[in-house]
Amino acid sequence: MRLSRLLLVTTVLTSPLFAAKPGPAVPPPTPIYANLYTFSDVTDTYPASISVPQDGAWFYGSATFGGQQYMDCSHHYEVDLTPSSLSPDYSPFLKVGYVSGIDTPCVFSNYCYSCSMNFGGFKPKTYFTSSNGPGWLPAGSGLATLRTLNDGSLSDRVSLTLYQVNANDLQGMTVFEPMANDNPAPADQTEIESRAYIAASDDKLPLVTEFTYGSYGVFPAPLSATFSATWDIGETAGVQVTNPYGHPGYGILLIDIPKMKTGNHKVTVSATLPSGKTFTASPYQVFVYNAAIEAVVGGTVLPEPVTFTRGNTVTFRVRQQDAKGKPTGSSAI
Amino acid sequence: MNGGDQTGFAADSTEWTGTTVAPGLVQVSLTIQTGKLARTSHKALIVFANARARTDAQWTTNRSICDDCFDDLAVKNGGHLPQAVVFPSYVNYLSTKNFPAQPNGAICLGLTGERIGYESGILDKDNQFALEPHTLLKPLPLYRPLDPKNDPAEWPGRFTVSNITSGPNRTYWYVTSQRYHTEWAYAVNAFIRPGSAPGADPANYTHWKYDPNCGTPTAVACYTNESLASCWTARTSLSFLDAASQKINPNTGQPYDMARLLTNVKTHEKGFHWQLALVDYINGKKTTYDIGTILEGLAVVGPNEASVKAFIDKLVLDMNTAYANDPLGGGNERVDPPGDMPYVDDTNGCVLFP
Repeated sequence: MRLSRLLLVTTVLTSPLFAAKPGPAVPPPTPIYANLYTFSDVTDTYPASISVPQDGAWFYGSATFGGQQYMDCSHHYEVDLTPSSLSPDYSPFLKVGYVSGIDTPCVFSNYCYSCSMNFGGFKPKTYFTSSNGPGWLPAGSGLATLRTLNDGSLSDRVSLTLYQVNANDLQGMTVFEPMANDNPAPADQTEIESRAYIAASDDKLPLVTEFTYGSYGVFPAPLSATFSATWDIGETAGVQVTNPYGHPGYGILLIDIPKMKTGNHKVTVSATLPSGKTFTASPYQVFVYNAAIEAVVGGTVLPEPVTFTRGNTVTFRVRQQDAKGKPTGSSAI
Repeated sequence: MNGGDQTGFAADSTEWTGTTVAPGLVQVSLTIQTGKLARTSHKALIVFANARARTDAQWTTNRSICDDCFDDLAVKNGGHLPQAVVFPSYVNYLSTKNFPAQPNGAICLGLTGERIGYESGILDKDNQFALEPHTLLKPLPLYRPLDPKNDPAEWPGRFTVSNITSGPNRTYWYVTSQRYHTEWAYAVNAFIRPGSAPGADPANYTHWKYDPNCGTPTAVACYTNESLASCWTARTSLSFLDAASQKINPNTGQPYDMARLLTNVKTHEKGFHWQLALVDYINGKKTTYDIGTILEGLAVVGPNEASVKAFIDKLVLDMNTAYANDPLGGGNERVDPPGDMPYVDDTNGCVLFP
């Protein structure tokens, strides 16, 4: 095996591909790779140290073939970690190049417009769109090694950027309502304004958290974070963390909705990292409706669990409940 | 609430009413006006409604047992050879060995089964007797009325159904009343039953004599029913029962205890075939055989009343058949040694033996 070498040809962009929101000035993210790499021989490799602190870190970047604007559909590269246990969610850690069945086939100048990098061979999408999401590594340290999967020649070149943002360095947290309990893409405002959440039921408020790092981008919640939610009535609610991707990416918090009066209510979500660092999002307001279905026989509301005698004339009616779950007044809504 | 395909259900309704018979989950998508905004519930409101059985008396199945019900069992046509319901002669004892019901040879001393079928017989669809009157007590049908041919008066009122037209159970049919009943009876072989005129009449003493030229021992047609009246009356003026009661049992040195035999037969028929194989067994399998329980719990979807009634009629018919064939129900049998009894040796001058 020949000596590994690093050829600096050009500097590439340092901003992630996924949508960025402005934030306070912070130091630039740590570059792991940020150059044009040439593999004149298949044994050429480019090692880089990786060190992830206690709370874990997100990684993002991009890749293009040679000095071109896009990857092509022919060349592939890979970044492996040593030890491999550094990346429990990915094997290998990073792949670069066309993925059959996932990327759009090249039809013009051998350009692959959707090809870039993917962690573990699959493409974590931001909000299920075409933008690649970041990759996650838990705490640990070791070596990253970039290598070619091609034949090796002077034209075997890839421009690769890979940056590390430590979870502990993230600055703030915001929340938004997703399209559905299993789709983390942001719901549009019209949809949000049409929603009424049902108190004291199995309805859950879905919220997605985003973390900022200066102007370098927004990131999903660190996988190491734990969450809590408190409603404006003073009640702490249960929070279920779901992951619709099946691998690191945008998770959805499903927040219990306790008994409360009908109306606008705010919930405050906090995230805590293993190091103890805590993020608290601004209170998020939703409309909560405190209603339930009652079963009535002969003018009498049946107690729960509802049991009627076969052949009864049963009226199922929706009635607003008070904050203790009792029907309010005597009129049906 | 959105009533789906419910005719006349207003789009902005807040309640849903109807006769309810089936348990289930009611889900409601709620849309409310909050200021200028119409909001829809993020998740459906749900309530699970469980159903409790009606407890009116009609849902408790009526059963009756007629004790020691008939005095002519084993008399008509010389009795029933395949089931060994015959006069207790030695020839009959031997003949019954050729039939599956009594492969070792026996005289059946009692039977339990459906009373009305014994009294009136059971007609088939061609108006022929599937079971001739006063021949056998069979565990079929478990429930009356059986059909319009056999129970023409009762049939129209056997049950009533109603269709639910509103609420969560709309389109369901359910049973609103039922008048099925079980009419059971047990009887003792007439020839050992005190007070039985047919059993005491020597004109009814017969045996089934096999014709070797016929060549098929398992065919009833190969047996000819022959009278033993002259043979018996030439020997004694007593009835078989009285003669047997005076005959000395060589096993005990005492006269045959025909009264005890009679008691044992009755105890077996009522205690086993009625109480154990019918009452107790069905009470333990109410959702399989108890018609009150089953009809009370029905919720049927069908295009019209006729189709729903046809469905229920078949259900009852299948239940009748299943019970009759159930080895722990109507098909249950246990050899119950009732006690010693002499036979008439019709091959040797109609003497009693042993």
